[in-house]
Amino acid sequence: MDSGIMKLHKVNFYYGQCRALTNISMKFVKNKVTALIGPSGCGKSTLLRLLNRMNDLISGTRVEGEILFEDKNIYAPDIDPVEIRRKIGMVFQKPNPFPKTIYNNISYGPKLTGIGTGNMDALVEQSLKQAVLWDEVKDILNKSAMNLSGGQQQRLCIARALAMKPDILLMDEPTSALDPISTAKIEELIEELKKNYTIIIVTHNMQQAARISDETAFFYIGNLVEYNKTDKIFTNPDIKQTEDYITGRFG
Amino acid sequence: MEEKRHTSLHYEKELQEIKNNLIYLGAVTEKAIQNAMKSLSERNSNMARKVIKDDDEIDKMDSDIEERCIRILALRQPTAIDLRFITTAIKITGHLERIGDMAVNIAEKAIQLNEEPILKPYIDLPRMADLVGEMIKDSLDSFIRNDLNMADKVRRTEQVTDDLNEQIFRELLTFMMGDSKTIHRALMIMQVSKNLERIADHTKGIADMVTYMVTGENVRHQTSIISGEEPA
Repeated sequence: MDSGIMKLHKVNFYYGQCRALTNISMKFVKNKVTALIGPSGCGKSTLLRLLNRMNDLISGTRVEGEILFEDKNIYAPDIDPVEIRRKIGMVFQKPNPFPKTIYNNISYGPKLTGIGTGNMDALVEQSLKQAVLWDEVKDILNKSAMNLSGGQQQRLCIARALAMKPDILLMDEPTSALDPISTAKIEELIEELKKNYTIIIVTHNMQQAARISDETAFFYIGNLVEYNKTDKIFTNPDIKQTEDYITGRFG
Repeated sequence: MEEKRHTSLHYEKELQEIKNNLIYLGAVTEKAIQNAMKSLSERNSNMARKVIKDDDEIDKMDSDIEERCIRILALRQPTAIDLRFITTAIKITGHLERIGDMAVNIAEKAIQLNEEPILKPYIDLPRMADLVGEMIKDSLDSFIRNDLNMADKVRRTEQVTDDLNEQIFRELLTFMMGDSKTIHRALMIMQVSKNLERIADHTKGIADMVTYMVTGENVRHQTSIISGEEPA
């Protein structure tokens, strides 16, 4: 496996007394799509949120071990979580555009952090083009984002994340609320985006993981069971537990 | 290897039905070979004609199994062991259908040979046919039981049938060199032997697919290269 852009070393995570992740060591490869799969409650979304310190917002949580990004532990005391979240963007399960215009949805974050202040119009256009939404919205940039379809809203959220110039994009079931055509567009977009970004995606859709990811990690009850090339995981996994899960012999 | 059941029992049933149909198709093709050889050794052309007629049934079963596999690929999107099982099943049904065609070829030769005086008592051909029948059975048993040792046994036996085919060829060559009137009959017997040898190749193909299904490793062309054969 290539050198990792992000490395986890013996990571444990607790919600109060309850351990949600156990001794996770793995690395995410630059410019690859990594899928995190596993049954509900296995810890995959918890892990995703750990990667840009979103779990900090939940009280009573605790992290042990190291999560290295650019060779620094993102949980070190001198690290600014806001800066981490700028470099490691996130797209959620349900599209969550701001109740603002399409233009302002994109420009809001960069304005706050001082990105693209020289030419905001160009940044908005570039971000929307990267998210393959520009042609659909270029004439209605001043209309409310809430009028867009679900699929368009989700691509707007991706464009919004891209406007912050992140290195890594985290996606938590980004197509679970979308119809098949919007899903196909997002999947196509992910294929394009991996040329410039590292993408880590949580999905319950096995076929989606098989289609779009390069690497797949299977989690079960807070443990990383198997992590390998997606081709290998879906044709001939090494671990029986992985095989039982992906073939539907589980529970 | 003890498999857990699928959460979807319908899916489980669909896979099991494919397995059962393959076992049945295997038994039918094995019987077709036996009867084709019997029609030759007992000079019973009616039996040979029945083998030819019954091949339609083998073709129908092959199409049915293939359709079931395609349906599962389209509707269930199988992965891992299920994906390897389905791809193996598609290959195996193709091999069995071709074995059925070989039985027809033998039966056609039997009808022609039965019209003429017997060239020589059939000794090696029935031996080869028994061996090939056993290989069909063993290859399907290896599929049902995920048995790699049984698959290896089929691969080893295939070499024996190659040797027997060559032995039969050499013996018939001496007949042809000694008396040109025997050439037509000798060539037909050679074709029977060649068909049996091709059936053995198909059983080896089944064994190779079983190895792929169980281990995920594709050994088909490896073995062909090692033994210097033309790839199947």
